[in-house]
Amino acid sequence: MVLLAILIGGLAFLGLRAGLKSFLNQKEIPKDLLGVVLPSPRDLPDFLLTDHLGKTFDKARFRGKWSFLFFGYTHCPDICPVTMGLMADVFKKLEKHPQVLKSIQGVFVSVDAKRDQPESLKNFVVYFYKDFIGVTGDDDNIKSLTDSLGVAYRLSAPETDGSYLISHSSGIYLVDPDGRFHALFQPQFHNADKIVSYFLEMMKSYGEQTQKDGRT
Amino acid sequence: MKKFSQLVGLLVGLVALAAYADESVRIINPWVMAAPPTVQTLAAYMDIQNDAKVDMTLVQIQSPKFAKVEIHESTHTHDMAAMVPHKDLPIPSGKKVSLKPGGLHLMLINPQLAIREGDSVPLSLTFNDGIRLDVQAMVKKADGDAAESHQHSPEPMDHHGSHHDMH
Repeated sequence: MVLLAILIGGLAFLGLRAGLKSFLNQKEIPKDLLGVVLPSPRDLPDFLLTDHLGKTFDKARFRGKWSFLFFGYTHCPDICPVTMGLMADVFKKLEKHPQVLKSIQGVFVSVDAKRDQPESLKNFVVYFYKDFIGVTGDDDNIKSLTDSLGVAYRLSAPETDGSYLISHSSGIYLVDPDGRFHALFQPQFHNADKIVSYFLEMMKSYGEQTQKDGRT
Repeated sequence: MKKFSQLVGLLVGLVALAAYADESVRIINPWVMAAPPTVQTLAAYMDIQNDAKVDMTLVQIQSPKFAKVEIHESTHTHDMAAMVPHKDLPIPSGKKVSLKPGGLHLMLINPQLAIREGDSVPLSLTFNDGIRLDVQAMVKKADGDAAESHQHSPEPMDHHGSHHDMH
């Protein structure tokens, strides 16, 4: 019985892959991409946040662009600057493709609403890449975005001087131009060249899909 | 003859110096990862080589440019990154401990003045036997490959995995 289930599962998986390949009908998606793109994109709930310029950042800001999201906090000296630097490298590499560059945005979402105000976020994000957007807001609104993406974060117990650390998901989350959660680059995929090549593949297959759906 | 004894003296001196260098703890390539000048925390990295015959422990770090310095380690569980403070850092005899992006680092807390790329950060590292090493760590951008250094072997994809950590 178990064997049969495995057999059926395996066949379904192969069928799905073959279907995906024939659908793409072009270059094969890098094998790893199957672990990056969600089987089907997920809609996001409404949320109301503020960007580093004080403007509203809600779901509508995702429309029409691919958004690269990273969740962290500015008091994080190791993982956050490393990952922001990596995201900046991805954007710099994509400068070779002006059409692509026009259709992407990099967003740093602070999970430290208490300490990260729009002004401090501005200095932070622009340092890594001139067009990066910094986003903050109240816990409830941050939570509706993080929960829908499966982003986890947790504050440590404060020390005597009131300082605290935050553990947080360190992946790079991709929201597509329809405002849906589309893909996730987990830390083992954090290499600028890899992300660029996967992303270009992803954009292409998304373009073909929207064409097929008769959308513009 | 005088020349010869001078030469012997010099050689003895050199050998003694070499032996001293070989039997102590050394700091190799200390640096600080450049970050926006407004941040309140930065990270310093280096290799600590212990050529002494005894195990050493790094017990205290100070910098005149920061209110305090702590030993931290970034850890990854599923896709969750966390920082774990360490009270001290053992450097076993004959071993090298590497502090690098995505792993062990010295967390520099509350700079007196903004720290910029190209600055030099003085660090005093005190070990358990009282040895104190003073180094200058240059502030620079992470190398391109620094971003990859916290990679771990690929795990099966699990979009919900991170939720388990929350409950």
